[in-house]
Amino acid sequence: MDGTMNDRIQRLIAAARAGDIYPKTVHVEYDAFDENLSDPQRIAKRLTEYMAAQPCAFSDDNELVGMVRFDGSVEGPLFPRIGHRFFAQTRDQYYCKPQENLCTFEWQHSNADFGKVINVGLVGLRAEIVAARRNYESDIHRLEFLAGLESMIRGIVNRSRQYAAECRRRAADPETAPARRAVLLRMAANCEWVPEHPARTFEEAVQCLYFCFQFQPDSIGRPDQYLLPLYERGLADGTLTRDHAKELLQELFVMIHGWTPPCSKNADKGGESHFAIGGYTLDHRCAWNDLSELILEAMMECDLVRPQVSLRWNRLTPRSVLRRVLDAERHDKNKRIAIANDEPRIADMTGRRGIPWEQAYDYITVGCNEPAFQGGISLGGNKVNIVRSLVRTLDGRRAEALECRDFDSFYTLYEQELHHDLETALNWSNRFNMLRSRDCNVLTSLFMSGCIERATSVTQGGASRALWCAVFMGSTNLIDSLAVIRQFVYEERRCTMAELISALDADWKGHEALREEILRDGRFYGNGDDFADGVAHRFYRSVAAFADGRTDFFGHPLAFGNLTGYNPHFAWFGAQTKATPDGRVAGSALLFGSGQSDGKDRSGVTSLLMSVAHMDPTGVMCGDSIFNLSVDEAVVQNDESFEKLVTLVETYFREGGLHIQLNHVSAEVLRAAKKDPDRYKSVRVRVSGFSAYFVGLKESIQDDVIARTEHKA
Amino acid sequence: MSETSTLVFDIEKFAVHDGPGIRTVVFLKGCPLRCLWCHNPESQSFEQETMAGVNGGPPETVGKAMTVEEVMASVRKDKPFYDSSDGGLTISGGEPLAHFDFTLALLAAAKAEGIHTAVETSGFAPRERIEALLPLVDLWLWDVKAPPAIHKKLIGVEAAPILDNLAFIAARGAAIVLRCPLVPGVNDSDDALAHIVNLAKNTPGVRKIDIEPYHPMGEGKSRRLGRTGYFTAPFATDADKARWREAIFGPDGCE
Ligand code: SF4
Repeated sequence: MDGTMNDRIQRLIAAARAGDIYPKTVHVEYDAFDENLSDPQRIAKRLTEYMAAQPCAFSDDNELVGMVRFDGSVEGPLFPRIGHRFFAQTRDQYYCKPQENLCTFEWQHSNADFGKVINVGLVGLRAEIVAARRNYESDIHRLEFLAGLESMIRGIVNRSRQYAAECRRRAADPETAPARRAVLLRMAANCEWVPEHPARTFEEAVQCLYFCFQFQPDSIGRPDQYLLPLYERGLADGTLTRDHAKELLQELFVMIHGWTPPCSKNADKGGESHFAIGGYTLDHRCAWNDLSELILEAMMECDLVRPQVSLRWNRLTPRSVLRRVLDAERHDKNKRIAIANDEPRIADMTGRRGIPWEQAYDYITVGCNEPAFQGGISLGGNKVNIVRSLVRTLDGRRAEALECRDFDSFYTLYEQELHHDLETALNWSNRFNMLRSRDCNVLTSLFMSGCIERATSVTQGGASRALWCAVFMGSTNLIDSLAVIRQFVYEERRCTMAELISALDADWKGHEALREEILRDGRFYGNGDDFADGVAHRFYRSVAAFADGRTDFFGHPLAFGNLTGYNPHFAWFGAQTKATPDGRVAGSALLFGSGQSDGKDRSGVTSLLMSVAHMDPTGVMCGDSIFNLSVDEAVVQNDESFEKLVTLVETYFREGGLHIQLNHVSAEVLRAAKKDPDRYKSVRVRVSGFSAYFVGLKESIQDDVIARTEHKA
Repeated sequence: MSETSTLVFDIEKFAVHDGPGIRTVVFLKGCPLRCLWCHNPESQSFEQETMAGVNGGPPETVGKAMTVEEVMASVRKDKPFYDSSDGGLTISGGEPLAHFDFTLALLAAAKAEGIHTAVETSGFAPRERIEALLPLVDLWLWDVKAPPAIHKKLIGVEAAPILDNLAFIAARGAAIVLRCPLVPGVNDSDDALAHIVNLAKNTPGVRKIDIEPYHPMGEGKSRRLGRTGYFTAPFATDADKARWREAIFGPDGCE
């Protein structure tokens, strides 16, 4: 931790970690007459009244203000859809409840365009409302929606004025020290200006962001881009120092951390509030700048778990930047940093999905590393048990499967079931989205791209920058299972399809020898072996063929991914899924992510990375795909081998890898591995001049490795 | 040439301690020496062996006959990683020079594909072999196991021919890294450390000295191979390592 961080921020961090910055809510009784108003007007009126009744909470250490919490009595921020009735109904019915063992409902991230409100202010948004009104002169519903938005602007400005007044009141208090009084007066002036007007200084911009974050507390997008002009201007004209800018960013990050209360079950996670640094500029340059560096510095000095950040890497990213970010990562005990690759994602957006460069270049990473847009909503989000399609082929279409004479005919059969399941999952997604689209939202809609112009709530298709993506649980199980069928049944003819099927029906009981043979000799995905990797290509081509020409019911092209989010969907689906040809036993968890495990990757990390980088030749997996790589802590901490790790990651990206996050093996994992070696077969450690599977080491060496690992932490 | 084959007991990817950059290390099975502390006892015999399983698991067969082309198929896949990190192929063992035909053919194949090559060796081999490999080896990882006075006792052969070979490659402009396995109380006396320092000073072409602290890894493997009477010593302590570093790299202990 940098010793230069000032005491004020240190105190704010302590308060945030203790949950003290989390403002209380005040209950508000609404006028029953409101029910006669249109949805948008009623919601805006109630939100205005609600916000006006909430305390202006900030401490003597704050120089930024604006926190407000919503109690669910009215439609608040879109993420996490506080107070949205139909959303709540959908959630109660489907959240974490796998439908047909095929898919579940998930939350959907959505991100305000904070850069825009900083630049044009609410006055700019009001001008857009006035302009939009002319396009809908006879459309009463849309006019009502626009009226709701306009009234919401008044409510927000009113709220900022309340904060200004509170600052002035405290400044006038004779007890207030003169230095603090000057600060309070500056804070009051800031709140009188933003967010109503375009920010004129870096401080006003960060104040605007802090204040508006309350209305959409998800990703802050690309702050190193949209805050850059005011940052540079401030440094140039001497009104801003780098240290002061850092302090403002730190105060913002403390608030973001504290926005998730300590009592929340997600308090130890950081998925909400993930944002991006680096990437491309509109004119195709490397976007990394001094503010990106400052943001990273500011984060690393704060012992917080939120926000989280991804470096957007691309071909123009200098190795020094990748090294800088990985260096921060290796020292970050809170594990807030990941890295995503612009190249395949932007290529898929501008190619298959038809998104123009002018939008695609500006994508962000949210949640558990999902590509998204500022001012955009993520649709879909469903978790799909992709292994079910194979079970249906082997069970539901058994007679046909037994008749197949070669792998191609079997695969043709399988592909029909795959497309059937993808269609079913898409239908479920549309059903979830139709249900939740009955809600109306006027608060977040203001900050979403397209809602004003379309005069439509973000919940009802108003957002023009939307992405649809569903994610697979078990893709690696599926690919390995198909590869085993190809190898064992059709090419090496070590067993018949009938034998394999009876082994699966019996959950391998009485067929242990076959299972052992499969686990020992199977040519699995992740070994840089064209055999299984070829099966992966074929599978993703089939997924792409399904996506081709299809859209969700709002009209967005389809993409897929493989993360699991906060919930163990992979375990729930696995619990309901019978044994699979890859040697998996009935009921055990499915795999998620683009990697491999269970010791099936035996050819070293470079082979695994090559398989992962090349897994999908179509781009259809450019949605919410992640890849966790376990690296020996000693490799990460040693400067010489760390340098090699940097080039390892860079090469993986050059080869097309989408995303990476590193897992340095912890002492905790090593201890667990010692107790339960079967579950941790693929954990590798470096002992001295060589590396080895941890579970294969003798006990005294294991203890030494654990001790050294503990020493590092 | 690409059909030449030998017993390979491991191919390690993303090897970061056996030469510059990201490397693939090919371990050949069979070594003419019998170092007391050998950490890879399964690499000594030129025959396939069976090692008892770990934690009651199935036994492992050590050593698989592979052709140069089979090894290259695996090595070649990581070319992008070598290119971006200035890495390449390292042939280790066992003793690569005891697999002369294979090593020669593998090095030639790697060079033909523009892959950087390193050979890790004890240096105990006929001069003609070393001379033949010289143009194909970009970097020699040369073991310094013990000072001449106790060499024969610990390693089983005299140091003189090995030191002559080292002088020979050095005189022909070879790039060299000295690799020094140090076992506390066995080969780390002040004299032994001074030998390393002098050797580095007097041998042109030495780029670097690697200290490899002893670990009792070989013991468990010896047991699994059914051998008895294996050598064992405690782990090197931090104090041992500090003393070695100071003696070899000087007071600030940097390389
Ligand atoms: S030279 Fe290497 S492989 Fe051969 S015995 Fe000595 S330590 Fe073992």
